Amino acid sequence: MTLLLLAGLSVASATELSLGGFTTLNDPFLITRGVAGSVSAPIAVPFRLGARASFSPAPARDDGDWRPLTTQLVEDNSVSPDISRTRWTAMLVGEVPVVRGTTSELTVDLRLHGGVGWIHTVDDLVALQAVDDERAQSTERQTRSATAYGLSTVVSPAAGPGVRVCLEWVDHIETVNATRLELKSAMRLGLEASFALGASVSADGETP
Amino acid sequence: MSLLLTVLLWMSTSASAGGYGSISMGRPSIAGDLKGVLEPGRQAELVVGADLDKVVVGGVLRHAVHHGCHYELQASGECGGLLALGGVFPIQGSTAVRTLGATLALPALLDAEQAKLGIDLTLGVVRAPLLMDEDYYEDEVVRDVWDGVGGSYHDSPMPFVAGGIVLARPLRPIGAATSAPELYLKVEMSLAGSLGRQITPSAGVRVRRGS
Repeated sequence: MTLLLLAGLSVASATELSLGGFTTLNDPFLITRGVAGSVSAPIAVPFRLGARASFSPAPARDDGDWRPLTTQLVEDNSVSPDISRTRWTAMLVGEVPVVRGTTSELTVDLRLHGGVGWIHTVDDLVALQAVDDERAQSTERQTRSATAYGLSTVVSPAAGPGVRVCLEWVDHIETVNATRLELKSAMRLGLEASFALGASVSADGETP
Repeated sequence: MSLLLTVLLWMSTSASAGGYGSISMGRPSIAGDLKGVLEPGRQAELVVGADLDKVVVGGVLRHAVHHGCHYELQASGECGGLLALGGVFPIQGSTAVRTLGATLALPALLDAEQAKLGIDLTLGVVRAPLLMDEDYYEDEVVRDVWDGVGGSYHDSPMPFVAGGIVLARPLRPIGAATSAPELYLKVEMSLAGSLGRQITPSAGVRVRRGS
């Protein structure tokens, strides 16, 4: 946190903010969507240090975000899949553009990012068929350390907000039913609007 | 540690020193007693610091996840735990390992146009927190399955020391006023408390002396 605050204070004029939505691509049991965003600032141009966060609201119905496979397992086969919903993530990340293309009107960056942080999950006790099970309840809600890494394409016009398409993996270890440990790796695809705040310095440190 | 990181960051953003930042992905392999219990993991590393021309100092944050052998199989000696034969102490199974530390690097000991060879040394603390519910872990795992013999991996932070060799190659500069990012490959040997020895190959990208 100290790192982020000091970095933000020292180079606030080049801060970049992005906000948008994401969906998880590789979850066979749940349809997971939410909002995601980031804020970053260059500390060793073009290396940026920042924070990424996401939030997914709980479904309106217990099975409102189940995929057909989940419905089939639970209702037809009486199988209890270990399902956890990710409610939020918060990551400290570094980001580096490795390729840049420019025209008179657009700048296109390919960026790599990676970092560490936290993920909060809530187990689906309905799918686990353990709503009143004290054992399952003991690890129903967890906040765990996590890893995030991925790549983004950022398209920035000469004026106005840009667009960021972000492919990202979030790794963590989930605990289900008190003692069952599972390594999870969620692959997420995000689409975000990107804004340069106080844009006296552009993303690569050059003054326009 | 927080003070150290603050000082490092101040150095990195001061006018007299350039900044330094890197991100990398690695595959840490346990080479010690837990080799058969924890599979090679996935690790992300973030380093932020100061580039003092020939020397880089920085704060290090790492997080790794390892798929682990189930605690019952460890007890029966089916995955290298060998508890039944009086071998190593068992561990919970799949494990997350967090590292917080400081690094000192000589990034260009050998400096050619197309590649740079360097070394680094990292000191810090590592944690492998208990991820199971503590009460069920003590009752059903340690007492019932392991006969009361649990490892101390999850109790407290452990010391961490690592040394690595780094081969880096500059990319094309990103913008006229910036430092060129460098892609690098690294092989690191480390010792992480009771988790033991690890070998970690990794690949990353770094930026030196940005301003």
